[in-house]
Amino acid sequence: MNKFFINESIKINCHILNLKSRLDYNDLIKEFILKLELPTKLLVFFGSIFFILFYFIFLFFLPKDIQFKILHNIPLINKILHFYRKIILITYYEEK
Amino acid sequence: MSDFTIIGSGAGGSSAALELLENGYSVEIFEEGINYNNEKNSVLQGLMSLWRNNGINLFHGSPILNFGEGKCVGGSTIINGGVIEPTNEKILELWDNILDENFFLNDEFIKISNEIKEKLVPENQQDDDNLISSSSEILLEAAKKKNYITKSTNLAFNNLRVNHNSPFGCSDNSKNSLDKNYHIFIKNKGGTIISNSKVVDIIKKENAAEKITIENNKTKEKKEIKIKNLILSAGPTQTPKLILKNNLSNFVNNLNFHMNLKILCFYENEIESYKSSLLTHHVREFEKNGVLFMASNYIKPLIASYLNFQKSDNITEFMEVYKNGTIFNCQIQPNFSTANIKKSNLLNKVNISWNLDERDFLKIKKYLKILTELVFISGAKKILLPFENNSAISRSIDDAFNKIDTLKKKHLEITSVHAMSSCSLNNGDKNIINKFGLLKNFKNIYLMDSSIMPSNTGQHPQLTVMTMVKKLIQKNIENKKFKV
Repeated sequence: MNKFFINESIKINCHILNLKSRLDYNDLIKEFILKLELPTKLLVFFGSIFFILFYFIFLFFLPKDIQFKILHNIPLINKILHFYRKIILITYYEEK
Repeated sequence: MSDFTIIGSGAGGSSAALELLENGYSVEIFEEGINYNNEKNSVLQGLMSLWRNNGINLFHGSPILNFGEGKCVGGSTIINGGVIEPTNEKILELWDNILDENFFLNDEFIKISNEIKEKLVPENQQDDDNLISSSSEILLEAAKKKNYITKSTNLAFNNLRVNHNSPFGCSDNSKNSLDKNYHIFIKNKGGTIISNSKVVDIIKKENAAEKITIENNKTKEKKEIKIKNLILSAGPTQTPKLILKNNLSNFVNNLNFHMNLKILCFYENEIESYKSSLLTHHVREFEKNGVLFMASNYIKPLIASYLNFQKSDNITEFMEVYKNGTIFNCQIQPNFSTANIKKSNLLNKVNISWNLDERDFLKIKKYLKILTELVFISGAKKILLPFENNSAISRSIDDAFNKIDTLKKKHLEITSVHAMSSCSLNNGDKNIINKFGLLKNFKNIYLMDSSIMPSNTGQHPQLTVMTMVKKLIQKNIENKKFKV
């Protein structure tokens, strides 16, 4: 269940970043999150659920630039957004 | 049962262990992290295996501060920039005044410091001004135009011209982290270093620590180990956490630290900072104000992560000219902001919180402007300021100054390095240890790491930590304080 929410969050962030979501580096990102200490891991799980719900209810139909702008400007949501963006960018440019 | 049980294998723990072994005591070290075997890591793998909580170690407050700390055999000496520089004499003098004793600013301390430097810094590189990385060269040329004081830096590296990856483990043996020297000496003298072993409990009887409970990080198996003397060298955040969680003291001191602010710069043509960005030189013009400028690690995935607050087309634009870039770091010692370490009695959890004082915020703005000016003098065409918003990109000095002036605290992107003084040696009422590093109200628990420094060093503390710990052990032996 937890992996499902992490996976979906990675997909949404890759979509906003214009990067192709790939299984091999998704697995590394999932491993990274699952290896976090419990309090941080819980924050990421709950943040991911909230992020996904918010995205599909309010932003799904909007252009990517506007999606990013809105997500970036909402306190707490922007923390989980940038957490994912950071590790996705690290993984993507490691491969490239 | 060993004469001394040491928790932590970083600069403090390793230095204490070697000195004790050389004086005939038996020593065992327990280290929470893994044994780093020179494997080549990706950035994420490096963060997962060598850093505490994968590099996410937050001080809560405004702005949130991330403190990077090593969690592996060798501690932060594995992941740091390898700078081996002594602390300024004025600070050592201040510490002697705090301690009311001539401990730091004397010939013996300097002699020990030089001996350690010789062990860690290759002889042909000591104080050599001609060894320079490409990113340091750019910064130095700009500093010369402003007549700023610059100085070469002694580094624990064998080869300054390598494509280094020091924050994630140097797989090419180029770095002299403690696993390459001190740990070998420790093992040769009969000491043991046991990795993957987290201390979960310190069991006391009257005024002494009697046993510790160790949990194996892989198997989660727990075992109790009897101890004669316990040395806490778990680092500036973990040592106070162990003290508070185990009720060894009701309080600890506030944590001092340096703040790192990074400016990502792009030039017209390709430069070679991606081949070597070691901080071979410092701009020391503002050292007396607690500010140093230096080059910073330039590794492709890290550069991408600094761009994470930008729109995707800006990220692509910057990454396409990645080879034209470099990073400069403004290391600032805050004058008024410290972090508070407190235990919540409800969950027995220790939290670290801080708030950026307005006066320190003004100091940050001032020195960010000075570094920005240097960067544009050096010929940068566009820069990324350390802001957590999409106005971080600037293409002119006026634009950058304007953005710095209008910056809000919460948008500042700061990382914290070199934390210290959370259980400081001092002569006042608020000390939790005595002048021998012995924890108050206990007869066999000592503190020997950067947590006991009397105040902020103003720069990279590894050499000073190692010197201080070695001298403290000698002082205990000379005064026959150890009971085994």
